Amino acid sequence: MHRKLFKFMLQTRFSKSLLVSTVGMLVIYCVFGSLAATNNLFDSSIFQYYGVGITIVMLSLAAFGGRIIITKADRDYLLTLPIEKKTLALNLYIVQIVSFLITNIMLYGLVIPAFLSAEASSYILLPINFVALTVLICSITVIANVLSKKMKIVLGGFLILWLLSALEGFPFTPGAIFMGNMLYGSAVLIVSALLSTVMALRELSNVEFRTAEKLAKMNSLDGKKNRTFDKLRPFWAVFFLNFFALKFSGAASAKSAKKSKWSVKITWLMAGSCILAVCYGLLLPYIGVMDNFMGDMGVVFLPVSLLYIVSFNFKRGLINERAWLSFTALDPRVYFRYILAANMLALITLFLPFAVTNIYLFFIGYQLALSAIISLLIIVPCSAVCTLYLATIVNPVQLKEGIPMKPTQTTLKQALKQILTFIPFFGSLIAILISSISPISVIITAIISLGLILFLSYSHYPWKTFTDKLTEKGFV
Amino acid sequence: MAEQELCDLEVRDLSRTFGNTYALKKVSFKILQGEKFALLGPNGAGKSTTLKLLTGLLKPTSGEIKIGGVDPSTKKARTIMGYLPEDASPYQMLSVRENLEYIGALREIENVKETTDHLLDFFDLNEYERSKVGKLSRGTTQKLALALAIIHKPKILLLDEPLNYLDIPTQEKVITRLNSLDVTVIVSTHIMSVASRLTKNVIMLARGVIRWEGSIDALRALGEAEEPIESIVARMMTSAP
Ligand SMILES: Nc1ncnc2c1ncn2[C@@H]1O[C@H](COP(=O)(O)OP(=O)(O)OP(=O)(O)O)[C@@H](O)[C@H]1O
Ligand SMILES: [Mg+2]
Repeated sequence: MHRKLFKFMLQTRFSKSLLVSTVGMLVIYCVFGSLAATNNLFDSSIFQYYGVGITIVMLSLAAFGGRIIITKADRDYLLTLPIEKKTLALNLYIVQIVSFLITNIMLYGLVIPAFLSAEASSYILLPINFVALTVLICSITVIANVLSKKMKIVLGGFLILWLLSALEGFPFTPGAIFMGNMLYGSAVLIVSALLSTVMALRELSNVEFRTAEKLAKMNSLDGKKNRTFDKLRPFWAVFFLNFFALKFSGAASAKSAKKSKWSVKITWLMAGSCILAVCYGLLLPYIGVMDNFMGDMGVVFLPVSLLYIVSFNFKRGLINERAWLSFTALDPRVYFRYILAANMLALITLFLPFAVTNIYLFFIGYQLALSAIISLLIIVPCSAVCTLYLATIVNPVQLKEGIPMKPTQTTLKQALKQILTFIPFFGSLIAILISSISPISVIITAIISLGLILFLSYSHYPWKTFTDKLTEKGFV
Repeated sequence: MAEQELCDLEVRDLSRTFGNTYALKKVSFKILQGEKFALLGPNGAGKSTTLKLLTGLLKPTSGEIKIGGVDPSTKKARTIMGYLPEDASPYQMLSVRENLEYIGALREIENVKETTDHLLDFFDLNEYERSKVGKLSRGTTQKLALALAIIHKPKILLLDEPLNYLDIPTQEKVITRLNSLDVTVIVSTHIMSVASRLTKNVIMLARGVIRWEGSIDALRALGEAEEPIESIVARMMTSAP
């Protein structure tokens, strides 16, 4: 620890108002949550699934995309300070824990207190667990940082299965804290947090080098052949660009870009999607035979998990766009509408095989599969595109030289804007979950989402100042 | 005659603020088809802001811009303008050729492939054709950015520090090639020699107002005998308005 450095990092990354309001939010959550829980306002099983689900998301994100987050300013100034690398990395690590704490308070906020009423000991265990979970997630990012791509997938896959086992009542998993096995769950969680921290700390001294190396590697990703945009109408050019910008873990990979024609690569992507859909269609009935409820949950789980992946993907907004090129070539409003439509179309195309699988599932007796089709083909894509829209309008960040050029300090206003971009996600999540109880709600949500997208793409309101705002923020 | 007026560029009482500070204050000028102007001025003078306003990326706080008689945000203005920002950064995840073809497709130019081939030759970019932009050196990126700015054969070229990052042989090539294009040019720079190599006229900006406007020869005549033009410019920029 280097006190001055740590203080400097905290101050440059988080504004005071953000830190204070996070604490405030935690208090409000606790009061509200414990009131709700003691009065049995909610069916706690929703909290359980939400808790496990979001932990899976956080841990798998950490495993697949793990790195110590540094900004351009960090790279240019912080990493060149005459401070021992280990100290520097340690501080970056602790600051990252703080930023994960803030994120986690927002994500788990409502879930934490829902478990308060269980036992008196939970009042002590819960905060400890919360910190341990955050530390675990943060450590995984550091550990994953030095792993090869294959090992990352192994690690991520293991973590996902380990957490999923909690749903089956397996007690020796961090996920068990959400499923009523507080004691075992806490023990496992705390031990794994400690272990992973030790491992992460040992890796820390290498971490910055790896980061630099990774950036260099990312940059040297030359295609064997160029993709061609020749003879494409503007919309289709935008479509193909965006289709391949979608980076679903496994589904699309820039490296698989060997053939020169777009159509060939779309075939590859679709083949991947089809294979996954077939696996899903074969696996689910098998689970359903063993456990009826789990089978039904599986049907709901698919759109929910795709919603997760897609929403986190689209939260980046137009990080790779170049206003000086695209906005001077086409009317920004038209271009942005193309982007929305292109992404929507790309998602629907990718999800189509899953929809077909769902038709099959419906005919073998899964009633919920029908509403899952609507979720897959309308609600999830709409939600993703909505997230993209909001992220672009409220929080434009542009990626230059492989590092986000964003202001390093997160202020309260920015954090609130971040929360705003989560609204489509949460809205759709709730809609999909409710769909398992009331199918008609899916249709209503789908109509609302479609209407919203049309309204957003054709409304004039934000566009008068849109490019101006982006340009003023340095988005050129 | 009508064809000529199509590509005139007129700015009247143009002001732009950022928060409370004026980046530009009541700037007016008119540039006729085929004329080449340098926007000359010290750091923070408002040169880049002027160009962003001309391209329509920024909106004026007050005042008026007419590109060939129409607003910069119109389709017509977009097709006749080509813009190179300072520190231009093309699409990082696309290769050099993909960048050119993508923008070619967006601009609906004919013969995207042939135009791209031609530009790759023109800027000696052939060996980088398949390289992702993120991997290029800063100078090579600049050459690509220049190519992207002229891919649709614009009638008006707005160039912000076009020679930045380029080595001297490349600078010479780019100067010759830019001069061979028959277009209206506005070059923003703070380097007098760049201005005099690429243009005939100067608009001198400082702190958001025009200090002087005229031909480079007239500028030279303002100084004493043998006085280098840089020193004349420096004197004019720092003197009170
Ligand atoms: N996005 C912005 N937000 C706030 N202020 C800005 C912004 N862009 C420019 N300014 C301010 O406007 C003024 C003019 O800036 P501009 O970039 O046009 O200068 P310049 O002449 O291009 O300078 P340089 O030679 O350094 O590139 C400066 O005072 C600058 O601080
Ligand atoms: Mg400038």
